[in-house]
Amino acid sequence: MQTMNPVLQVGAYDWNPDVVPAAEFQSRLSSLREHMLAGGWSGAAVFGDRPDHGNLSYLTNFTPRLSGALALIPAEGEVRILSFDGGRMIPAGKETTWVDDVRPAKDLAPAAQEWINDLGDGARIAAIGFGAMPKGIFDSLATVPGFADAVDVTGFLLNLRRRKSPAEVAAIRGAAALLKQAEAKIHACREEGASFTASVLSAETAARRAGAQDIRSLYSPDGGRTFVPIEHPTDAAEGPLAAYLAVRNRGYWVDGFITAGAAAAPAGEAAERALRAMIDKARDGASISDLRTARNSRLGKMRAHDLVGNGCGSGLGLSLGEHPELTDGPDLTLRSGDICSLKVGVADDEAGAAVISAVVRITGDGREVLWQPLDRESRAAAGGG
Amino acid sequence: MIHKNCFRVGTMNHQDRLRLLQGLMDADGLEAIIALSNADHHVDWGDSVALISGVKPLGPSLSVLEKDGGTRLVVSPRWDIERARTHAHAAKVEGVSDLGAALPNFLAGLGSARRVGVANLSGMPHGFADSLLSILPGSVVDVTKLVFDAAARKTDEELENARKATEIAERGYRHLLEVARPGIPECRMAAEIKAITRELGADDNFMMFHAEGHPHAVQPSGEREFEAGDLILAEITPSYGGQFTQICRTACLGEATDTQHEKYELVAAAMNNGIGKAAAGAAMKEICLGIDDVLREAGYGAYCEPPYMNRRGHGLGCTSVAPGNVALNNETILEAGMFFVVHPNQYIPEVGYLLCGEPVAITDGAPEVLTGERAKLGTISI
Repeated sequence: MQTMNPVLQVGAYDWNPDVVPAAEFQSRLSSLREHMLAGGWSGAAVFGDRPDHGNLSYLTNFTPRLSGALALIPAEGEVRILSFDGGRMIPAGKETTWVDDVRPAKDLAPAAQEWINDLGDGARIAAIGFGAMPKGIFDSLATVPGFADAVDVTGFLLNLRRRKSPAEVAAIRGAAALLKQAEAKIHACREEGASFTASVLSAETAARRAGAQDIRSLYSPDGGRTFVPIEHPTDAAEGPLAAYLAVRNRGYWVDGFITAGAAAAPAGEAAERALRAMIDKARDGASISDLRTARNSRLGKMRAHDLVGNGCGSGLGLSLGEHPELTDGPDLTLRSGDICSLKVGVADDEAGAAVISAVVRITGDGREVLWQPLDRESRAAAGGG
Repeated sequence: MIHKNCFRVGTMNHQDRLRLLQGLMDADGLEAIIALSNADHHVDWGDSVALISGVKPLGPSLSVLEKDGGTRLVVSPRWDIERARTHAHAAKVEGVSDLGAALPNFLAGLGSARRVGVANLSGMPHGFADSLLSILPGSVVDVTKLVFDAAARKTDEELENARKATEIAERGYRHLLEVARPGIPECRMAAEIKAITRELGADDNFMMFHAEGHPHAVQPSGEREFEAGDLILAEITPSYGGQFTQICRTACLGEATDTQHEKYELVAAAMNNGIGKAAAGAAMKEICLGIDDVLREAGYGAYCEPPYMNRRGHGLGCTSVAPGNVALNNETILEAGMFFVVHPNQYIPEVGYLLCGEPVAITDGAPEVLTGERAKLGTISI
């Protein structure tokens, strides 16, 4: 789900080997290098920027704060990171990664050329994440032989990222726990009569104080029909509050839609039924069309909400939208190890508007729900209505 | 280059800025300006779509200003269209799910244009940028600098938003003085100030925040825990209504030494001397000279260059680009309505790096310092 990107990433981004140990990064690198060997690539270049650095972080844990970075991975030898964040940001950048060689990318083309030279004659480069690369950077890199005709292997890494390791699952559980705290705060604030924006901002603060690396939000000023970022606090407080929160813990995101108060009927009830049907259907081997069929059987002819469209959600992890993308695209199949945000949305002239979601982990024998909205009893226990 | 004296001082609005841009387009033979944004909101690059349309994009977006003053805005994701319609100054607003796919249709009206300016092209994904260039048949000119030069002077609304942002920044700093304690990781404190300033109305905050006993520079916060005797460096940079302000502050965790107080007062005096040079008609570099003069006189001339300092300030508002850095090589002539931060931010060998800075708006008379209280070395009882 698209939220407003902040100008600087503020939070606990230092690499902590107790969260994702060095051996796990080496294992990921080994997988990539095996792929490189099979494809005849002597090096891989991985680009990530501030809005989405999932590929970069997956291999290095490096977190760009201000701009972006390029990880240069030879088939054999040490990894190097060229950071576009600027010279004074390098010490902080080094703290975020296990990679020793982190350099400013000020003179990109010569730096890239130096690396290519080290790879030897006729170096062939595999490119990851170059689709998002800004033209200014791409044009500079393209002047370097090897980069101009680099082969895109982003799909390989996205596929590798799908199956979450125990360390990743733990980080995601942590994020889900933070989301739950933020959700409880929203309910408590609304119970006390706080405005929509005050409730959501309090939830942001609660999550940050509880240790969230980042939290993004949208809220609906009109009961779930439209969602907007908070640009100014407002006093609006009438009716149910629908909000979207995305919470990040140790690099890993979870997200969810929360409704405080009664969602519009019958849209809210239908959306809840549809979500339950999708959750029941989500298992190893289930296809997106299976999920869609389960959902549609509960929604009937209600019109889909623009936020969700005909999609069913997306994978979660180091990015908010990663594989498997549960969209209108190819009819992917869920696999054990996937972690997905399942989403259902209705915005119908007659039925009203509602958006609801849940985070599930696909297991060998079904699924585990990592987060779903609090039910009424739980809300009451949490101090909200 | 900004056309001087286009407007009465202090009465600029958004339409005036668009007319200013139209004048610049006319002078350069441009039939349209296409402003682009990939919505990553880099503080140093600015967002030309927000500047022209008044809408800060959630996703990849573009805005067109035509030579007759016609304006259009295309935002993604599609579901953001109602927000865009509510806030846009543009006459026509569309929402699309894929900006790249929408380009041919949207730009069809520019098919006969012989000369088009494009802003922020180099910041867009290369595939999108190359598609755009292939669609535009005439010559394409990079107008990024032209567009942001036009943002050097702020509108009345932007200045008012900057004042609100500054009030939020100062409240954020006071909160820091109240809650900072040994043992708190600096990144937690940065997150706390970010959260508090959000609750106070900031839509974003560029929070460079760092602490050490003898710091050498300010940098993004890490997970090091505060220790007694640390100097906490805080570049608190909230945005209100899309206008970033900045205050630079230094606080000692525990009692500061006499030397720390003395050196901070020196840096503050340098800053105030620089601010005293900030007047309409003066060159930006004179502010830098005013700062350096005080430091040189105190024997720190050798430290008036990198790596002991970076720049003595920079533009504020929707970007730090305009009206450029407070630096010796900036010959920009200051005009009423310009808004920037003056910050010596200086390494002093006896005590370390000290942050000290105020947001300043140029007026017809004395400069307006937007803060209620100027920087002094903060102390936090422990």
